[in-house]
Amino acid sequence: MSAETDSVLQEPALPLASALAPTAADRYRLLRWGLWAVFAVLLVVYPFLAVNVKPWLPIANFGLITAIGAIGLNVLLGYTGLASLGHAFFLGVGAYTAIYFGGAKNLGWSFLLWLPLAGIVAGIIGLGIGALTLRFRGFYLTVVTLGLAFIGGHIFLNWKDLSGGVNGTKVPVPTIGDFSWATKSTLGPFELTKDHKFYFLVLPILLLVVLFTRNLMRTRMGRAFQAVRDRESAAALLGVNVARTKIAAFVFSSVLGGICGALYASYLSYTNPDQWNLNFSIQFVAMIIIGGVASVSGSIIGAVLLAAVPQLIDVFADKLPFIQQGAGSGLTSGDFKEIIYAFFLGVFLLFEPSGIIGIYRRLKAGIVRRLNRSKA
Amino acid sequence: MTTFLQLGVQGLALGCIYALIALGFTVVLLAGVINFAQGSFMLVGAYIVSWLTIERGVPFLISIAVGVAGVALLGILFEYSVLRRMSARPVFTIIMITLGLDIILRVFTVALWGYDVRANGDPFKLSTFQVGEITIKWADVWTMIATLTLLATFFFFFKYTKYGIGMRATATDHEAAAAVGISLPQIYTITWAITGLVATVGGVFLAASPRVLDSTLGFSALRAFPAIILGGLGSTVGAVLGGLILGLVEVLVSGYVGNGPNQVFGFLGVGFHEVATYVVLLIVLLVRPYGLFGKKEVERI
Repeated sequence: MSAETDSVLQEPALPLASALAPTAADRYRLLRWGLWAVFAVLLVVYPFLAVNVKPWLPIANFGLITAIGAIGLNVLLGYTGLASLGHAFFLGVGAYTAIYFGGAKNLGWSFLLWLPLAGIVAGIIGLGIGALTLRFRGFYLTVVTLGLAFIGGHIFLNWKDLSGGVNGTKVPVPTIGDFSWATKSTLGPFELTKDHKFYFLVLPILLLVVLFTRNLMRTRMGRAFQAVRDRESAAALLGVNVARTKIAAFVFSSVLGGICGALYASYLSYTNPDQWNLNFSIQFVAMIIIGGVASVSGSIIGAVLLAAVPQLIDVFADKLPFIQQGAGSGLTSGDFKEIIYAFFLGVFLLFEPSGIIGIYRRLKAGIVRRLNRSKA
Repeated sequence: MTTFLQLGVQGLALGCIYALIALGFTVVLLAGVINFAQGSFMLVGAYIVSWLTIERGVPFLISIAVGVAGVALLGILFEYSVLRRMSARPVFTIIMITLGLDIILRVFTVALWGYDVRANGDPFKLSTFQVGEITIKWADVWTMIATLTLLATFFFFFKYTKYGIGMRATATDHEAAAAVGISLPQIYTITWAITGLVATVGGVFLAASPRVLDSTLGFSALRAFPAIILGGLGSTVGAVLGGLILGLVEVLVSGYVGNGPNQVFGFLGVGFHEVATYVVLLIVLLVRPYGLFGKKEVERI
């Protein structure tokens, strides 16, 4: 938890506590490890607990998959300060790369190839776009990425052999040898559905992404990202290669975007070009603003929350106000979802710009302060 | 040549609408806000006008006045309740909050008036007249007349009246403007009222026949968005010129690009005109990073 940018809040507390009372610090460390262990067990057991209730497993799966993309966007927007509205385009690139290399009508390569390729191809395009947009800042960059996303959407729509045009197309399902992620299989006493299998596929990938991103932010490159965000000219003066740093952030974010898009489309098993539109990009921005800008755990929290909203709305559609019941007037559940996330986006921007993770950090700092005071 | 002139007239008419939209963007930009909700303002304005004229039988001009007042009120409310708390926040924060407003307004508009495509209630319908071989729509002519009137009024207001000068002073430096006694709340209120005016008029003409009114109208505002950068960010004249250019480009592209007879570049795909404005923007920005008429920003350390 200590690699975040705002770690100032908790850093001084630990050395102080251990100097005063080593046993207290030990207890604190033990408690923390204990909590993590419980959390890890819960993560593994979760899909078996959630199996009988329809939305809970898809919520986890969509949440974990979009969390990969949200972390990618957070590296670009939160850590490096490059405000892009084109993130969904990179997800689309990942999805269509998967279809191109893995699809049965196309090359039909193995999952072990098409998933990394989705990241690589998106990364290469990110490299190009990063280099192209290098000279734009702030508002200009936002509009240029928006334009690139529109143009990309146009290409998706018109590359009919690949995308199927407006009708969309099937997306390959992960398969390794005889083991397919689309069919049911049994493991001892448990029956594994598609949802279970995806969960255990995505969870380790997300874990790797989290570890890698966390560590990256502690390296020279990660510090350079944040230096460029905080003051570009000062960073350049200190010897940071601003151009290379910005392009690296673009590449990193689009690689994660590509992997996320491939998994997302594959989980849905069907996609059409309209899916990767501006609204989807806005949703990703909403995830990181609600979760926490420049925070890896914040990205995950935001992604899971925004994944939960539509699923829960679908389940409780008949109990919620304003929603269209049958053919009457009112909102469709799709529109209701849009309102919910737009509303929360606004609320967080207005009242809690550091997101849920900001609330958590404040609470934690308050508790630590109180503990220290009671000891002194 | 006939085709070219025909497309040229249509392009100018669309360009006029884009000029209005771009002017709306720019005026708000001068008050320090990037308003991505402009599209939904157009949508709300056009729906109010359509509902009043068709369902309520109110004369067209009066419905427009009501629509303008409604949208202006919406903008002023938004400025008063949300944007006033947002000063000195990063640009992107304001972009996102207006995008959020855009979504909310769009969804509520369709929820209120339904998802069906509807006519916008203008009196011109599909009526046309002939000039030589060119067929001109009355709707296009009135679009141009309305736009030119509005633009002339706006520029007079902006250049010579007390409030216009106040707006320009605020755009240059709002603290200095406040220091010499210009009332910023008043300026912001005027700004959002102007936005309501141009958004509603733009929306109504954008939904004029043969085009129709439905929830996608707001996305057209995003197509006009490059105009404000093309003309140089923050320049009202630039925005109007940029809008005219983009309208022409879009209509000419829709006429000449494709797989039909006398058309070229079919490989660019169906519906290329919808992204043509952004292609133009990218090409221009690659050559001139601050737009056609923009000035380079000075970087302060």
